[in-house]
Amino acid sequence: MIVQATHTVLFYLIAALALVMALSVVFSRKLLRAAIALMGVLALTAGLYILLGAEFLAGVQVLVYVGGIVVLIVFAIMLTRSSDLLEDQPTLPRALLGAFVGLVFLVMSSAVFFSSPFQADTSGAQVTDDTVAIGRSLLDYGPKGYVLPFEIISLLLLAAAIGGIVIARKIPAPSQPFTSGGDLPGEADFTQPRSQREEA
Amino acid sequence: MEYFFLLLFTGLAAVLVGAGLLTSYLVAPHRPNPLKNSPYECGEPTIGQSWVQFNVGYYLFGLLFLVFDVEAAFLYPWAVVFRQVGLTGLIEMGLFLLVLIVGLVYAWRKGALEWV
Repeated sequence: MIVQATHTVLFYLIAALALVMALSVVFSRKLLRAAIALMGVLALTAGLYILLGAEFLAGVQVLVYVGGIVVLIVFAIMLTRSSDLLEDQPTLPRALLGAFVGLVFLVMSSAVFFSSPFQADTSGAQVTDDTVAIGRSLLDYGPKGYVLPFEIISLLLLAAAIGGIVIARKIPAPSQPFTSGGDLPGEADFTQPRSQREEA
Repeated sequence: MEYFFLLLFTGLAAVLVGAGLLTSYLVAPHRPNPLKNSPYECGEPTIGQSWVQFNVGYYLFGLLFLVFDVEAAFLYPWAVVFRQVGLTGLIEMGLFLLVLIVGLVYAWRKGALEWV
């Protein structure tokens, strides 16, 4: 009973923290803070997976989402210039477009939510050895197996890798090293710090 | 319950950081002046903003890392059941990896693994 109660308390604690983090992703005006909060949301979701007994899913969540996707998002943010992102007063078309996209997403996700028959598991069965089950059905070539989707995933990943290379190689590399902080006009041309430079 | 220690660790980490911050807030004297508040950059006056544009190479490496990260995630369930599925599983995983090696070779040939 104590274990059950601890589970419930932990669930609500993690879920509430995740909600707070998710809200700060949306409402933070600083992009990097939003990205860090997103990392928190994803890590807390991994905590929820562990509570459900889905250890493999939790591991993948941390490995791929927290360790990979958020890092990629941070790099993408750091690739842009900060001044381009500080848009305190969005223009009316942008505000309307944002509201429209948000509404579409709300309708879509609530349609999925309300059309799914969520059934409480009253049998009390614990999910065990889920990694074995996943591995078996992943490699099973019978009618219930998933070997074809599994092989197609490799093609999808190949397409992602090649597409990423093709697109990212087109961006010209900035001439300054990333530590120089050359934000003043012409600052990037200097290779020496200001104190060691002879002023022209 | 095997994750009790994970929980304990998370709690301890939070308490340690929080207690440190709280102690320094309570104990340390608080007399700021402009010099104290200025950012410290090896004794040099700071140049420009702290926000700098990253090299695009980081993004490219991050992208490639993500692809092979997802690939590695698929290796775990395969490795767990490897003894049960035997040769069939080896061939299936071999095909999966072969396709991704094409991506690696492509990245290599295109110079995406070179640091620019």
